[in-house]
Amino acid sequence: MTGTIIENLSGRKLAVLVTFLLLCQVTCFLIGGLVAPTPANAQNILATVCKDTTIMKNDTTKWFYNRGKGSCKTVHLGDMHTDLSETDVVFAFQMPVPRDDRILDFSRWQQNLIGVLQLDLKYHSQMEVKPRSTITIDARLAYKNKGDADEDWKLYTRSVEKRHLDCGIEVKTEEYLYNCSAIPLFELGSLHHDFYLLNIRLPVDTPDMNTNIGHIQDLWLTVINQNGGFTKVWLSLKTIFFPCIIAILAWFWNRIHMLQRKPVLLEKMLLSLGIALCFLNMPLEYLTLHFDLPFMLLLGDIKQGVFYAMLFSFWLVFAGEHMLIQDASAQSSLKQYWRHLSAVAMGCISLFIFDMCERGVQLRNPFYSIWVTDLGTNLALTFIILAGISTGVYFLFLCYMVWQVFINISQKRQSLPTMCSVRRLHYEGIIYRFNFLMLATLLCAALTVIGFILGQVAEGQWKWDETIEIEYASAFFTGVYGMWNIYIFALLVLYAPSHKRWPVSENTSDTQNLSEEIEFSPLPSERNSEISSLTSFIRKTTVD
Amino acid sequence: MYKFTLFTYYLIVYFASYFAIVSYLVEGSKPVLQGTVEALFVDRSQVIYPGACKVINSTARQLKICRKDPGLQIVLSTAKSQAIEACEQYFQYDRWNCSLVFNGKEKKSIFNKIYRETAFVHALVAASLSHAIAKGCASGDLYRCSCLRTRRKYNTTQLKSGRCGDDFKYAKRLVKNFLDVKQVSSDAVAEILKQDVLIGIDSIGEHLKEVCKCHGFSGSCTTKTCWKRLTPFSSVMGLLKKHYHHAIKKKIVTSPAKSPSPARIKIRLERERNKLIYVQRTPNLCVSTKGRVCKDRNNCATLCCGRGFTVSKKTISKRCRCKMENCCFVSCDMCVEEVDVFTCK
Repeated sequence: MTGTIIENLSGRKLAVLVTFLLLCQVTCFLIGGLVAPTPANAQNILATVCKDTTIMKNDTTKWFYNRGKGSCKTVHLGDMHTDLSETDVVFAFQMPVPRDDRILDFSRWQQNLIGVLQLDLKYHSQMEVKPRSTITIDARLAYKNKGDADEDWKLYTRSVEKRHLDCGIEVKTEEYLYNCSAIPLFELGSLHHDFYLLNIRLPVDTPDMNTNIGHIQDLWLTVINQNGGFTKVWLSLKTIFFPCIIAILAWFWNRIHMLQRKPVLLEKMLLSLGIALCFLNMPLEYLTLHFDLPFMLLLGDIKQGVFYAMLFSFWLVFAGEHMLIQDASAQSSLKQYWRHLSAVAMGCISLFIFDMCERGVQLRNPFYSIWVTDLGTNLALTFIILAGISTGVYFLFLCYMVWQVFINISQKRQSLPTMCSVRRLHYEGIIYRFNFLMLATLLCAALTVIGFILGQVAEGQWKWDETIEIEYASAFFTGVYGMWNIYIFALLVLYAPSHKRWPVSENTSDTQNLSEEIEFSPLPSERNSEISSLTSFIRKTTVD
Repeated sequence: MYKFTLFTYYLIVYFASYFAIVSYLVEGSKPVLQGTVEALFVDRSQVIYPGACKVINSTARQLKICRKDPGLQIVLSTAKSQAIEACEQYFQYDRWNCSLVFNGKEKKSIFNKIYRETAFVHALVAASLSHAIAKGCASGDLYRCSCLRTRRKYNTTQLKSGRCGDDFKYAKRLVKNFLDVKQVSSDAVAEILKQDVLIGIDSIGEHLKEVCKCHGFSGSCTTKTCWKRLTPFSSVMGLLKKHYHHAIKKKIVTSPAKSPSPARIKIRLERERNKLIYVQRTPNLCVSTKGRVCKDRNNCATLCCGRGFTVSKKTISKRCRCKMENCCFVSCDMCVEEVDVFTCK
């Protein structure tokens, strides 16, 4: 009879494999920490206040910018201007700002662009910012490419948006500043063009529009984009992992097809987990270097969501298949787990809906935010809370099942002394390795959580001494990404069916062992001789 | 020792000016740091000086810096007016009202010796300069702001990979460079002024506000990016004024035999790293506060030096019923109001 590879692997080989995988893991961590720069980069841009003297204010071919030929006439907001109305004032942000005496341009490696608006509001006793006041922003985004003329801006998108102002002030003294929280303004899923220009107006179309926003002193925009260097490292990792996982998947499936029986549930689950990982590993970012693909942010979320859903389902099934109390004759199927899996499905679907409502709509309007309207906020919160509850329920289920598995195993362990010594040693080894893998899973999960928490607490960089600097955030990403790849790689290798025959059950002269053999033979697991020996052992003892 | 270094300094300046085609000595006798701060603060005229810096009579070295970045002269003039305005506004009701001379005597300039006020002005001008430069970087007026990559391996071709966020670091470096902070640390006076300048620069750094944005998986905080945000200059003034009040007096032994070596001064200053240092006690300013207007009774008690004050009624027209108009401008009515005016006897 044959088992999975993990049961038949000698301790030495297992140690070699584990060491190799650990080395890979450390490499992944170090690549992120030493080679890659920070994952994202933020740049502060101060608004240039431009004077719009044109008569047609809705003209989207007229753009205001502060650098290059045809730059706008600037206005000082502090001075009194009786000749200007609100439509004549344009806040211009030309990005990126020049650095190191060079006019920079965005690179497609930078992937995405997120804009956050910050207001410097001065306190005036007669013009206090009322709580829960909203600001209405007429935002227009334009783009330009290298080689275009200075004034050759083309409209990318325009929208009139509302945002909540969340401002507080400690000392109410004239000229002091409000402490306002940053306002997320836009999210571009693709950074396809070289230069962008944001023109903001604060319209007063109705008498109460933009009246309670205090005295604007300065407007700042912070643009965040993925770091080009980080994308390169990330993409190289993906390019390496993708073929590796595909190869091991093919090998795994080939092994299963060499057997006479149909694949069991656990093997199907492993296969789909591998496919989900391949989906995640697919280096689609190469396409963004040539095509404008605004859906990449959304797709990234979906890819991760599918992977985590598969991983969570796999853990459930894995624990369930080792539950030891199920009906041994029935071929287990996914239907048995519908109650447990519905928690996963529920969580994923609610997160998906939330994502579609936020990032899905942003495909059409990058300035859209679900959090602006009360209805949207409630909707978003509902879905997030639903997802949270589902996750909680799922983990309760999972913990309960794992606990049961351990209880059953310890019960069965008591019957071990009645078996012959060779077989007992072997079974103990199997239990040990099962525990080992459970431990590995727990370790991976714990490392992810700890790494995440450390990342929240610590600053971006860790300095060990003057020469070695660890870019922690990047190391966390590449480390965690590498870890789950390696984890699934190990699962695929160790849970593939083994070709090795059991030496113990074939040639032994031990009479006690022989009697065990006879005891074993009428069991269904023996007839279906290729099932995992762990389960067969467990089922046997249940019959006992 | 002091005289000797000054001599070598003249020598260097002399040769530097000899080689530069257009070169102007700052005030003739003072080191660059002192000279530049004084030039920026004292000169209230709108004179445009020849050379790339325009706002001040600059040294060859400064001219070179200004020539490299044409935006710098605008930034300099912003920094200048910002410092003067803030000083006059925040010291309106203090005994020293940000005047350039003590008690109205032309000979008693605040720059003659290192008074508490001199120390403060150095900090103020340095703070204003770094603030204006950081702002210039953010608005794109300055072209040479550097990304200050932490690791050397990012060469220029990988420019887009490095971190480019922190404008203050660049501003700090440029101000130190412009004021020639490194060069002047050869005698006690220079060492003290250097510290005052550094405190001014760091006040801006202390007032940077960290803001974070989560943009990870589904907008969660799996990826979080934080950056430092520059606060308006007026919010730094409070801290600078606190430094002014907590400044420490240091004695400089002038006789050459006892004169402490720069190293020893450094060690002594180390203990008071975060305090403004001055050398000369400010003359009694009570003489000149006669006729000054004070804010309220409490303020008058200090400002009038116990001589008492008169209260008079006065009708003034004042801005009132202010409201924001057209999104961005304040429009106010003029109201005639009767107010109490406190004047020192």
